[in-house]
Amino acid sequence: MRKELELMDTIEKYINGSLSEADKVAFEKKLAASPELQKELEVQQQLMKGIERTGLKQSIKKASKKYTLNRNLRNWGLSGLTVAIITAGALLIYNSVTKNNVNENAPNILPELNEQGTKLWSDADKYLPLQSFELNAEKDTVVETTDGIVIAIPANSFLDANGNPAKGTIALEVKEALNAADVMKAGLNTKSGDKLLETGGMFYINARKDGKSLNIDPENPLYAEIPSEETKPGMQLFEGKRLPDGTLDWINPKPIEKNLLPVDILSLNFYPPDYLGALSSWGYNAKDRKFTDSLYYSFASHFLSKEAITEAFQNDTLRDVSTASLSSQPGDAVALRGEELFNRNCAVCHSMGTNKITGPGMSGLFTRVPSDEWVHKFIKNNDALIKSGDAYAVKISQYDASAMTVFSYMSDDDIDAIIRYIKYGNSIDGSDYINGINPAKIKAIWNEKFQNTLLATREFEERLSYIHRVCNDRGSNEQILDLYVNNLDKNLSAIDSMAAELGAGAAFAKFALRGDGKVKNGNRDVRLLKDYYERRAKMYTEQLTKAVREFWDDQSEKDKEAFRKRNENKLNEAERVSDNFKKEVELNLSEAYRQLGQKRPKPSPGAPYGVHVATTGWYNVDAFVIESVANRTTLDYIDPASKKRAEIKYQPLNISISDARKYDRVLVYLLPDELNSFMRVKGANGVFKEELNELMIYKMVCIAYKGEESFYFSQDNIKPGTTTVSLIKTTNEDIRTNVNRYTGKSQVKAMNDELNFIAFEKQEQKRQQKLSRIRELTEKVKPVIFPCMAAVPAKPDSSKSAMTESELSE
Amino acid sequence: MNDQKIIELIRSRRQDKVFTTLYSYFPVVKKMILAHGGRPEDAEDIYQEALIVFYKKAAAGDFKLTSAISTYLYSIARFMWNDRLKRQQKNTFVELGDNHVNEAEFVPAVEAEDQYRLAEKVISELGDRCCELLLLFYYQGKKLRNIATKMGYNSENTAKNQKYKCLEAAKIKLKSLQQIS
Repeated sequence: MRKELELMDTIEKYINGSLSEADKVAFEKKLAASPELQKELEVQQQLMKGIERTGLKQSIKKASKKYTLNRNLRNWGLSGLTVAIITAGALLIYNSVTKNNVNENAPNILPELNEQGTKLWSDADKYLPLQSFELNAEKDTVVETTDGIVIAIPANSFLDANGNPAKGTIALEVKEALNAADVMKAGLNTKSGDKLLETGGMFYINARKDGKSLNIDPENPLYAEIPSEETKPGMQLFEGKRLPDGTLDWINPKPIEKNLLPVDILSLNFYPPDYLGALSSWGYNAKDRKFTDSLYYSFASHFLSKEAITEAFQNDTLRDVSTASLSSQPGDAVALRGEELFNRNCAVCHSMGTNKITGPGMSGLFTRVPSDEWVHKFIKNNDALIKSGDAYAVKISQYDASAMTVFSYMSDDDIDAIIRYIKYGNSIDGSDYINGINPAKIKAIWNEKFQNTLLATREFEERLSYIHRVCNDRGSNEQILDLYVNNLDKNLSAIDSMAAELGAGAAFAKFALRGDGKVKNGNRDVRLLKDYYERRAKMYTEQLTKAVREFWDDQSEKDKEAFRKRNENKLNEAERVSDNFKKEVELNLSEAYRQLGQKRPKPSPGAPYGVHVATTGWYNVDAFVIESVANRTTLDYIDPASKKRAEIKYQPLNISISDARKYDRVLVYLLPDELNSFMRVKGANGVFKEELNELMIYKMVCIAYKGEESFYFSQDNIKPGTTTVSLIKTTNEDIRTNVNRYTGKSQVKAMNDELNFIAFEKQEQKRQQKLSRIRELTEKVKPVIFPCMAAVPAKPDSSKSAMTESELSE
Repeated sequence: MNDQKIIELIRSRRQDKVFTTLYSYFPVVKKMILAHGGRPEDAEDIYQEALIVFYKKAAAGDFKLTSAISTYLYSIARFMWNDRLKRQQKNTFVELGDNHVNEAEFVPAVEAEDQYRLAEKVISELGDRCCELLLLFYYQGKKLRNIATKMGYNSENTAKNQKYKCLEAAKIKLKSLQQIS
């Protein structure tokens, strides 16, 4: 044997103690000196344990298989029987001293008195074998019977005749007849009065201490689970009453209480029932929880009550909420004023909804109009705007002949307030016009705090989808939700009944019949949670309202900023054009005078061009040059005195952009060497035209955008004629670098300003698109989130309910 | 079968019968674990571990049954499940009443078993023949002679040699795994 194997042999002998005394001493000496040997020993010992575990696991797995097989057979046997309905508890008494033993063959010797102190016994008492479990009444105990009834017995659940908890060892007695054969063998019938019942099994439970029967503490009952594939709706628990003829009558039916299984509350869906489906059908990512949450919760801003606002202001929660234009006033004051102004001036012709009165409804207005500024202009003087040829104004004026009143006296602030009111409504009275559950309330329960409560169950999830759709005057859906949250310590079915009484509808009456219980060992701090719910719902409403307002305030600031920038850009543009013009005139003038062989007179200061000069002479040249530059047509001037000729040619340039249609936007610039700026070339449909001055050398820069992609092209020394441009895909950074490198020193600033403005416009366009998507989505999703607001209230689908009317009436 | 009988069977190493009997308590444990965030696989795993702990305790000579085996198994399983929940930083625990089996009684055994899981993995991942050989010899206590006949080795010595080779392979594997962790 190899040395290593020999070592293992020695270690093994050492472990199982079969080394001789001398060898053992020698080994231990070696062991003490050698960490390696210690390691070897340790590993080998662990392997022995590992082998043992492997062996045990194999045995256990075998047992598990066998068990599963048996279990399935049993369930198969039962499934034929669970077609129906009744589980029965018969109360008998039996005296037994068997310890945890199913004594199937023991004769059923009945004690003198039954549990009610009478001598009445039924046949079933005599025929069914007894299973007796001995247990400590002061400890939690779980037992399972031969046929698989699992009984959980909480500590101290048995009371003696005096109502005191039983102490020490008691005997729990069980008889069961879960399948048809047993039921018949025991002579049990399935009659309740004259009615024939179908049975899901019958069982008897009793406990006794020292031969005397005990009562179950109603505050601390046992919990029994009867094996069956499923609990049939309407299954009830009957009590057995012994009749003198030895049979049992089944009386006092009670719904079966079902323990609820808590699941991860975050895995449940507490949204309004059609919410996620609607979002994904509109092409949104309904799996993006951040998105679905923020959209849904944003509606909480409609639920801030007047009281809450006053209170919030006192608590400073909302004081720092800035407003669109009146920063000294709270946002709600603006909205209120907007509402007042709207009602006074606009409401005669415009509704806040989608319906047309004289004019169109205001719902979705800002998804239609070009901009807020446009609304300003239109309100102030729609007539002027239409006459100015504004495309959208013209379009709507054609659509409807009745003209809108001109509100020229209205201040910008007032119009801002109206816009704000139209955009966001008046959230102070929001609860009046949104009828539904405040999403802040859902946020308050849909979190870790409510794990392991009634709410963290599939059963509640199902209720909630109905609660969202409760639309009536008696019990609003919010009240029904409160009812559930405020009664976490009750059985779900009990709350269902309360909800039904509050007028939540037939669905809830049906729920109540299911007999759903509560979460066993659930969170006990329900009173604290109730408080938490109320506080959180309020807090979230305030926070969410604030967030929503801040968002729109911020957008409103951005609107103003964009307005300012555009104006600035317009001014710059005008200045640039005029500079270019001056420079070009200057250049052409010098050239014209040179060609005429004349010295150019000094321009009169202050009024250099286009001034009527009362004297004859050179001014004609100036006038011609100016006219030629302004019209970009060739100058062809013959001096009447000298008959000399001055000619400066303007020749057409056609720039044709390949595949122009594929771009969202194409910009073409000419950079003349003589100018400090650029010329924007006008064009449409991919054809750009300009007249080139023969005195200048032009460079050309083309930029195009398609979505997020940028394209670029540049060329030197542009000649009149037709140039075809094939743009090359690039990045915004590269465009900037190229433009900077390519452009003449004096033109860099102008070009960079232009690029900055383009970037800003792009960003602004994206922002506006995003905003209109948000507005559109908000409008669209509102009736989904608040089903009671939809034109036709969504009715809960009755087919989803497990029971039909006919089943109920049985 | 009563509890004392089960203990006797364990001590006479008739574990197959024991485990089959004890599996009837599984539904209770399963319910408890499912009700506290576990999946059916977790329930199976935990219950099997509980059976191992109980088996080893019961096999030890000094073991005295202080409660019903069902209650005992339930307590071990509950302890292990809580432990796992704690490690996953979940905050939904199965409530621990003071009215149960004293946990101190089995906690060291539970922790020890946890340590042996790695060795078990190594053994169960050895080749089938190696695994069978080691189990026959060490777990079932079969004689080398019988093993040689059963598994078709030429001699008792070949079987013995083979046994050590298998053990050596396992040793190397376990050492390398321990180094990693």
